[in-house]
Amino acid sequence: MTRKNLFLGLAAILLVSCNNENAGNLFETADEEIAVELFSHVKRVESIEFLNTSDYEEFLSPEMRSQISKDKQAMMKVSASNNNELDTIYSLSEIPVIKEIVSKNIIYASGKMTTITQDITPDEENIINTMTATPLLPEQTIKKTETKDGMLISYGADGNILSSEPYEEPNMKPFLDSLRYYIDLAELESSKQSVKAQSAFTKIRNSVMPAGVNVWQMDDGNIVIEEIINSQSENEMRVKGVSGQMRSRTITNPEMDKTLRFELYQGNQMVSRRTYQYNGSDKLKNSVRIKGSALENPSGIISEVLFINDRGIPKIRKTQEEYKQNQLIVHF
Amino acid sequence: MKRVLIILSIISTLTFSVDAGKIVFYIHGTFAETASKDHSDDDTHKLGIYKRVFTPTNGTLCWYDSRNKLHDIGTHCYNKYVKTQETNNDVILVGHSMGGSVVRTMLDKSSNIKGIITAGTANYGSVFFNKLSSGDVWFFLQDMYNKGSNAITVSKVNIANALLPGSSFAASLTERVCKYNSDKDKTLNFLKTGFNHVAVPVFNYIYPCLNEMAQNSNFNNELNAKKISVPYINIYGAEDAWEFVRLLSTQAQLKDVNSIKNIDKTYDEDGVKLLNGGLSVVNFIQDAHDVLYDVMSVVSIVVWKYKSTKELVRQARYNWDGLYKYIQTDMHNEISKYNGSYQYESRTYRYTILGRTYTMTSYVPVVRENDGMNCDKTVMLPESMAGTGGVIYNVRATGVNHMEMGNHKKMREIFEQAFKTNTYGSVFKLQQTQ
Repeated sequence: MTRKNLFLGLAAILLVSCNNENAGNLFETADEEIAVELFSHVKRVESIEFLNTSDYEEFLSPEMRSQISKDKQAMMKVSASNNNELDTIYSLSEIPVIKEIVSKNIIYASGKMTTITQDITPDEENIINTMTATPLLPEQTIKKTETKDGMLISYGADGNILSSEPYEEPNMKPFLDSLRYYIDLAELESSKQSVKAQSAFTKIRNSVMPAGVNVWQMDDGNIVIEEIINSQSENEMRVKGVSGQMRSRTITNPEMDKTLRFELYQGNQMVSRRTYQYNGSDKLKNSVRIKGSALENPSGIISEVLFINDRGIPKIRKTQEEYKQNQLIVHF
Repeated sequence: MKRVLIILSIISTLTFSVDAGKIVFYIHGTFAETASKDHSDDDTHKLGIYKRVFTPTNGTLCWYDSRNKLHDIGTHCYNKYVKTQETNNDVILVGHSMGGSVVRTMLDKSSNIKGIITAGTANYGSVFFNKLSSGDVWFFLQDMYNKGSNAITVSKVNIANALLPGSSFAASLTERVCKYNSDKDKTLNFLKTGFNHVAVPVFNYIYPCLNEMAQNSNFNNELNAKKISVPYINIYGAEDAWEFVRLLSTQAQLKDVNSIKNIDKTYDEDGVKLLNGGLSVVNFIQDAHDVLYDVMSVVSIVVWKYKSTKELVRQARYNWDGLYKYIQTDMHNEISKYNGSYQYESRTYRYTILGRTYTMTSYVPVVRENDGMNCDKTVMLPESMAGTGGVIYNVRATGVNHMEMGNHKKMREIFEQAFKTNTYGSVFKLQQTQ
């Protein structure tokens, strides 16, 4: 990879004050030098939706319309003015799930890493618990998972240990070294006056395109990166019943410091799309911070993935994520 | 002389009335006899503990061969055990699972039978026995296996490694995925082993009693057409949402479960611990994907081509979300299809996210109370089925799975109430034994 290939996103970073607002004092940290911190507080809602015309026109290829037309219920839902009519969930995997997760990950300069994940979903929003006449008690349900000092421990609501097992701690030192390399590289590039003057799109156009990648700019200035996916895991990612080469399309803002949208196709059939929201007003809470600069992280992500259910009906698995905090701080 | 005989007769009757005891016969469930080599070991009889705790001198364990029709088993138990001891005694019959159906066939055989107790008996037939023969039950295991394999492949093959070649983070993620893979196999093996304990005898042989125990069988329809004219304590287990895994855990340690040395202990935790371990690993890997995604956000600022590939990390995470949900809930709900506790109910959900409030109303599958094998609906009988002199007590055994019904604190409490107090009437209250 040449330096020309590098996108100088750091140059466009918005300078903000650097007050260290982390995920509250939920967790204690070891008295060691911290290299990277990640704090996240996200509410995630997973639901299954019909391919109705108003919201999912992009997914409705002639093949999809044909498949839906075979199902009376699906047709009714597609043509309905709203989706609130009584529906039947036949497959358990279609039960909506609401989760609110707070997590903290710390990578120390020594290469040690600790993670803590807490499930703080309010009981009244825990739909899964209403699916049985005899739900698990809070102390029987995993509310917190922690990795520390070579142990992976899960806890119930009362802080009771539900499972505890040793795990081999990864050494993150080489990872930190490579991250540092990328950041230093970007800093170096961004300091060059000739490069500073160029737009993000020009820089990309001037760089060597990897095979199977196309980049272009749309009328509104946003940039599209299209890439043919040839990976071993392609088969597992494919939507069954849809043929064609897999390709992805990433749409960023003109500065290329924000991903606005991501799309996945099999042939000409859209099989997945993700849209990103930025609130713009709370960059400290939703941000990537490096060397006193901050880049805005999304405050909301809506992901919609096409799948064919057990009855052969195409549906959308929708995941909505609302970040109350989405913060990555690099301390070097 | 005639008067003397009459007086003697009256005295004799009075004497016998005063001395008449209550004797209790315990009848095991399907295939329980296979656990005992000589049919005399109390520790291998599902109800052996109750015999020793409550009726050491007036209790009898009944054994039978499951390869028979239920009426024939009832006749065998009556002739071999009850008939020889019933004279001048009140008889109480206790049955576990299918043994409860055997008990009900014996009601017509003697007027000395004054009360019956059954535990986990599918009075309306067992859906489980209907489903076993079709092999449907295996699908849920297969489904879990596929979900696990899919999540692992998408994660480890090249998402992590391709994005950050040579970084130890990718390696550590792969390592964790592999660890999950090993845990998944452990979980799957546990389920298969436990399942074999429960199901293999059924798969291997066609027993007439199993057909009779199935839902809507002629046997059950005929039995339920008759009124029950003695007091009847009908116990049903109500385990928590992981009932089937608890059932398998118990089944896998049957020897300890049925031992008098271990009275009131439960052995239902192993499977739950295993699944909790699996869930925490999945939790961890979900978190690792989030870390990887966030870190890729930094790297992709610098290296633009990573902008699209980092999104594949998120794509991979959704597979783990699906797997987490499947282990936590779906596989237990799937099992409920096989024990008859699965039903549809209308539910409305409201939630607010990203500034919008959503309302959804759906018919969704809901799991009724069940003991892993049978649900309340298939066990409970209406009070209207009680005939003259009869009364039906449907009693809920909280936190008891089907295989724990021979030794669980809650069950012993119910038996204690029946045998030592008047909670369920005087019929069941035993005299103090010597």
